[in-house]
Amino acid sequence: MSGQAGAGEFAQWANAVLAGTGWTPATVREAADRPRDDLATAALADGFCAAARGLTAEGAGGAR
Amino acid sequence: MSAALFDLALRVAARDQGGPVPRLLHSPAPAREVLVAVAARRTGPVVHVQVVGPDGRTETGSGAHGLAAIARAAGCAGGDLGTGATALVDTTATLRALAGLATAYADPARCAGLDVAAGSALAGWWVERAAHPGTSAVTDVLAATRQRFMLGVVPGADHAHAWRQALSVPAALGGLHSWHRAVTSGTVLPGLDAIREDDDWLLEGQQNALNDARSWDRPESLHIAAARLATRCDAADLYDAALLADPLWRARAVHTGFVCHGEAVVGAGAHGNRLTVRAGRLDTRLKSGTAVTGWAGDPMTAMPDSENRFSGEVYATAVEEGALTVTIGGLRKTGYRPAAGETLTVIPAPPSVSTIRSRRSTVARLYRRRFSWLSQGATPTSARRGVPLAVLIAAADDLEPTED
Repeated sequence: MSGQAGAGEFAQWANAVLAGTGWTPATVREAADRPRDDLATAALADGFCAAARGLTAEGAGGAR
Repeated sequence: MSAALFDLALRVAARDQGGPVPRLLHSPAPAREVLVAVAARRTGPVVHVQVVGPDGRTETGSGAHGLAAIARAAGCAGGDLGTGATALVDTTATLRALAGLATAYADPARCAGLDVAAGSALAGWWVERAAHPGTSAVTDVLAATRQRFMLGVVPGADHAHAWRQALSVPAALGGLHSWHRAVTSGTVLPGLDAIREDDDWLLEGQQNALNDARSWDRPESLHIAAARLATRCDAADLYDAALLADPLWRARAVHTGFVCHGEAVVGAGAHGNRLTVRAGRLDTRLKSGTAVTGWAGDPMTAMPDSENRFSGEVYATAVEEGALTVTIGGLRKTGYRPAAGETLTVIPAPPSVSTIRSRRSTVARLYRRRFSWLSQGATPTSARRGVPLAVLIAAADDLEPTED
């Protein structure tokens, strides 16, 4: 999935999942650097942290 | 709900990355030395089979010829299944189609040649073991990919074509080999050896049936039926535990409640056998009586060997001043003993393989008894266990009718 249609669908889905958390698709990346004061922010921050760790490990193990 | 947010972060990261983001550092799919890519489709009463062996040659056939094609590609057309070839598939429809075909030719007397009988025995092994997560007999590369990586798309849009594109996998069936390599790089999740032993056990049964020229699809005795249900449940438990050996999965499991993370407020000390952990999250699934293991560090800290972990049982959980306290008792006298003030990660203890073996021996012994306990007057102790959701779903799955 790529392009405008995919981006729109993804943003719409992300908006629905983030509803009530105080985060939006535009701001959600900032959660990685915020204190984990609430469950939603902690989950997002841990997710970004795990993604970074995984990508680093992938890079160290050689590109697929 | 917070696990959904964890996954959303992975999807956003994958979108920013422009490619897949790992969910696991380990490969979730163990395999055997020989790998064959298999596709089977049912058209009316006929099953068409296409197989690409390790040498890259494509073998095809329909019905019995399809089974012979499998045997040729896997190198067992002479009737020696060897160590068993791992089937690479990208849809469960292949296994559903193979189930009926293999069963129809389970009896060598119905087969025109040994290659057909061998293909049937091997395919029957795949079908049976496919229901066991962590098996080395079959790898559904699409399922394994979704387990190991996340794409930057909405849930449900990560279909086979999207993954093939993301991993630069050729479109033909032979592409499953390179797809499999891309997804299973690195070390396999630890703790799956017992499932491989079960794979070996069933393969030996298939080989023996083939050697004796008898059907491998004989009616099940009560014992075999019970043993098969037990192996499915054990495989699900072992696989869940193996996933928790992966640091990225543990980070996610904090948000599903399977990993508890906090500070030791009462340490084990030199002689005590209890400790108390204070966790900020209240949504743990650890409850009184749960066997646990843990170590010093955050959930993504590498899991140390057993000497540097503590093991015990949850004695009590309570909420004090808005925080969860988990009291763990029955600690070993030797090895790592957490001190107060340390940050700890606590997870459910993996199933004990020796306990699993012992339980199976007991069940086998009971089923071998000549008389029912009903006529003996000695009621056995009832032993019940929860059946994992995956096993219930597999049991509810309708199989297509067998080929005549």
